[in-house]
This record gives sequence, C-alpha cells and structure tokens, in this order.
Amino acid sequence: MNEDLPIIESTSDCFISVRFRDEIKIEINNKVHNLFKLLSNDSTIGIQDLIPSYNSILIQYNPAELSVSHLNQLIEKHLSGLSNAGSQKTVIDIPVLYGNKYGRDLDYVAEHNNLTTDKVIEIHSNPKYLVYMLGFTPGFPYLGGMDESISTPRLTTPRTIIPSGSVGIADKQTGIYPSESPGGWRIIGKTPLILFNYKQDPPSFIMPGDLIHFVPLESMKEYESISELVRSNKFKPNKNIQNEN
Amino acid sequence: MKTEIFEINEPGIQSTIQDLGRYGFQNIGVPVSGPMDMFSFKIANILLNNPLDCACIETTFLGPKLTALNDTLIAITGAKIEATINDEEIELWKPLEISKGDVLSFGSPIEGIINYVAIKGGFEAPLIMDSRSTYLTGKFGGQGGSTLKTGDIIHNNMPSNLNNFVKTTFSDGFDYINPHDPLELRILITDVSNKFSRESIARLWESTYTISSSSNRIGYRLNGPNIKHIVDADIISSGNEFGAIQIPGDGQPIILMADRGTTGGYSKIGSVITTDIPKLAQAAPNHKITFRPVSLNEAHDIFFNNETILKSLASKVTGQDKNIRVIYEDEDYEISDINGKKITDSNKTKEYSEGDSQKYKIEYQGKTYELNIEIYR
Repeated sequence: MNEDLPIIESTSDCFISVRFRDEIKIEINNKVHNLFKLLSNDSTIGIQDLIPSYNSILIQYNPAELSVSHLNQLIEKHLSGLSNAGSQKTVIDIPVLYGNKYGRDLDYVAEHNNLTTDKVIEIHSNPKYLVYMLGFTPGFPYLGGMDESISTPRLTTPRTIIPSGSVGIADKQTGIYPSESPGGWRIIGKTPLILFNYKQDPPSFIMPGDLIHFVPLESMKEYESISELVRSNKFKPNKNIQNEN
Repeated sequence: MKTEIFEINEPGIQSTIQDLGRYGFQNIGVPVSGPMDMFSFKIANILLNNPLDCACIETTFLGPKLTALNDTLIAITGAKIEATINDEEIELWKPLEISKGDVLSFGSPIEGIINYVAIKGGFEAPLIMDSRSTYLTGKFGGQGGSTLKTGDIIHNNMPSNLNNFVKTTFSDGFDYINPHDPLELRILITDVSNKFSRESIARLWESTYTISSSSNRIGYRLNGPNIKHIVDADIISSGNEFGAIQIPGDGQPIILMADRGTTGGYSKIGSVITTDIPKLAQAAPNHKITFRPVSLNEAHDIFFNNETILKSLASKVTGQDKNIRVIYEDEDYEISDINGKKITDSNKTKEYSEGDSQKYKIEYQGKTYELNIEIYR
C-alpha cells in the first residue's frame, strides 16, 4: 500500500501539491476527487483554492493564516482512510453534429485510420468519457477513454480560430473547446451546447469527475433546433446519475 | 448607491479593473487574475482606508487620461511615473482629493511599468464568480471583460464618505525597479517531476536572463541560456502556481503570472517567492533578471515580514486600535521613529490619539520608507 501514498511537497511558498502515482488512471483520479471533496468541505482558514488534476491536487494557501506544518497535518488527516472508490457519477449527453462544415477534419481522421467516416463517428460516440479534470482555460475538459483506433496526430500548424463547442482529436485524446480559441486539434464535429458561461451558476456545464457521452445528431436542422433552445434558455440537458462499481 | 467617478478620455495601453482575484473556481479552469503587483495594489487600498478587496484600475506602461465626474479621493501606487491633475504634477503613494471636472493623466513610467489607481470605496463592476477582476482572455470581469475604452464611465462601489478619514502617506513607496540594474528574484527550486539535472538547475541561477517583449498578464517570458531537460518537457497536466518557472521544450523559462492557465503540461523548475512577484511584474521588457535560491523557511520569513509591513500600515490607517503595536520580529525589518530612534521592543506600543500626527521610518531590505500618519478632516 505504501507505494500508493502520495507525495506532499511545497511547490511555492503559497502552494502545496499532493501528488499520487504519475499515471492517468481512474482509481488514482477517484482519489483526487475524493480528497478534493474532503478539503473543499474543510472549514480551516487559510486554504485559498484547490486545483484538482489527473493525479494531483494543488492547494493554494495563505501562510500568514495557515502554517505549512498545520496544513501538512490537515492533508495527512484527510489522506488517512481516503478511498479510491468512485462515487456516483453524472453522465452527461453532449449532442454533436459530426462532419460537414463543423467537423472539417472528420474525413482526414477516417482516412488516417483507414475507416469510413460513419465508423469514426460510431467509435467516437460509443464510450462514456471520464472528465479527469477541467483546466487550462475555463471549462476545458480533459477526457479519458478514447478508442486508439481513431487517434490522429495534431495539425502541424495550429489554426488561429477554433469555434467554441468544437469537438476534436489530438493523438490519443479527445476534447471539446468550451470557448473560441486557437488550436491544433483535428476537429470532427461541434456541439450546439454552451459549455462555459460565466453568467450561469455553475458556470461550467461539465464538472470534474463527470462522464460524457457524445450523441450524434442526424442533421443540421436538428443542430439548429437544439441551438435555438440553448439560445432561448429552454434546453433541457440530459444528465443521469450512474453508480459506479 | 453607485456614483459616476471617471470618464475615460484616453484608455492607456492596457488599463483593467482588478480586485484581489477570483478564487474558488480554479477547479473548473477559471484563472485567478487580480493584480500583477499585489504589494502596490494593497497599499493603494490601505492608503484610502478601503477594504483590501476593493477594485482598482491597473495600468500598464502608459496609464489612461480620466475626467472626474464627482469629487472623491484617489491614491496612485506602483511604478514611478509622472502623473498630473489638471497638468499639475501629483504625488504618488498618498491620498489625493480630486474634484468634479479635474483631469487625471499619466506620462510614461520612469521606473516600473504598472500602476494602481484606487478610489475611496473601490470601483464598481459586476461580481462574476465572486470577483470584479478582469480576465482578458476569457472576456469577462471588470469593465465588460475588456480593457478600459474611450468613453467608458466608471463608478464607485459605495457612497463616498470623506468624514473621519485618516490620511496616510507611504512616501518613496518603492523604487525597486532600477532599469539599469539586474533584478534578482529569490526562488524556490522544486523540480518535483525530476526533469532537470543538477547542472541544468545551477545554470538557471548562474545565468542572466532578459524579459521578452512577448510577456503579458499570463506570463513573463525570459530569453537566455537554455535550461535542458534530462529527457523531455512534458508532465502529466497539473495545477499552476503564481510565479511558477515553467520550462517548455525550447528551454526558455516562462514565469506564470496573474492570468496564468489553471493547469499546464510543461515541467516546472521552481517558483519565484510571493514577495518578489511584484518586483518581477514591474520589470519592463529587456530588463535583466537573475535568480537566487532560498529555502522555504526563508521564503516564509520574507513573506511574514512583508505581511507585517502591510498589516502595520493597515492597522494604523484604520486606527481601530487605540494602541498601535509595532511588530518587530526580524533583523531585516526595522522601524524607527522620525528622529531615527529605533523601535526594537516587540511589545512596545504607542498611544494613538486623534489629532496626533505620527511619523515612522520603515527600513526594509536596505531601503527606507517613510510613513506619515495624520488625522485628515
């Protein structure tokens, strides 16, 4: 069990990192989310913020309010008895229109992997992807679980503008751009949903630890009708609770 | 009630509304933002007896030209700069009255690049995720998620109450940026991912770097000798620290600043201590940078000293304590009265009574700061 003990180390005079084994694995990520919950609910003064990621949590604290030794004790307390079990997970359906003008790299991904575009869509929309973390930019989900048979290298020259909602592939990863940004991912489709909106509470449609299920849309008409519902705030998201074994 | 305070006549190069920053949303990828130079920001608010989280204008390189739409008190801190009200030069680091119709303008900075303009009560902006800070990349916070623009009207956050105001100056606030001297940043060496050889790490502090012109609120890029990785620059994406020294594949360091992405996948060799981040923030492109490693204990001691300066200032300004306690804990930090008599006893207190004017000299890291406190009516 000892090898599963995390490394607790100061990474600055105001940050401490709690890092589990350097692997991208569901059991390790479960621990991160479990520890995040314990620390979030801890009312100790001096903890300023928590950044959970694949296999670590970065804790931002104010040394004037909370000493590093006290914080260490607090972390140790929460680590003892920390479970690697997954809690209930929310499965979120993300409707995606694959191909055509919103997914202009779909043909390339199919060609690169010797598949038909329909097969790429089938493979991509089959799994439930785990949201290991959100980061980099507001609401950007780091997803795990893509079938490697559709992995495709990034563009050698990134595009200057990727529209928000674009669904892409970069090597063995898949992801969604929550806001318009430059990027080098191969874009295979687009969701009409708005994934990050600072005016909403919570601002992010997707949270760390959620499961994502891409649901292919049949037509541009269907995309437009969902888009209209989203714009008028009438869209009912499909979120289901799944108990993990 | 909101009161119109300023109309923006000229926006300056990059003027944004910032408060202490946006906390509690880094888990969904929302950067903290907030001041680049936290020290000057806090003092600007302290000088006006504002709560520390009051929003200020942060200016970069060239500040704005503003017309006052109502009377208020302002304080300008940060870079050494020629600022004027109605073409008359004004002092920085002290509260100033500004009257309806007055025009406040800024010249180019002489030392340092960032200034804070505080007003009594702070600037008004919608609270987005509990903060008024502008996040330019995300286009939210502050004045519509963007820099101030010509014609914008900005308001204060509460009715100005000028009664019983304690006027404080923090003269010669800092001039820690001499453009001709290299800036030494104290750093913690971390290399938690074991990406660097001892040679590479030593190279960082044996070399002199210059700040690249492609630096911004997200990060300050440095040019200089390459820091080589043992194998590669990639790590499993993890949280980013304010002041983290990131070393991407090309070996050129990037120091992560206020608008840094919450997480990143590049290796980090260490971090600039919190107290030195404001100095870095004030350094202009082409400024020379050197590094000196310190221990975590040293970093915390320096942090506490800095907090002590801010706290002693704040408690004096608010005048909540009848007794002003001068806290003296470290050899590096000395307080003497204006006659040069050192105050060295940690329990020594001074009676504070209305009408008194008190003057202190604070010596901190070889520099002397003057602190004058008087009751202002």
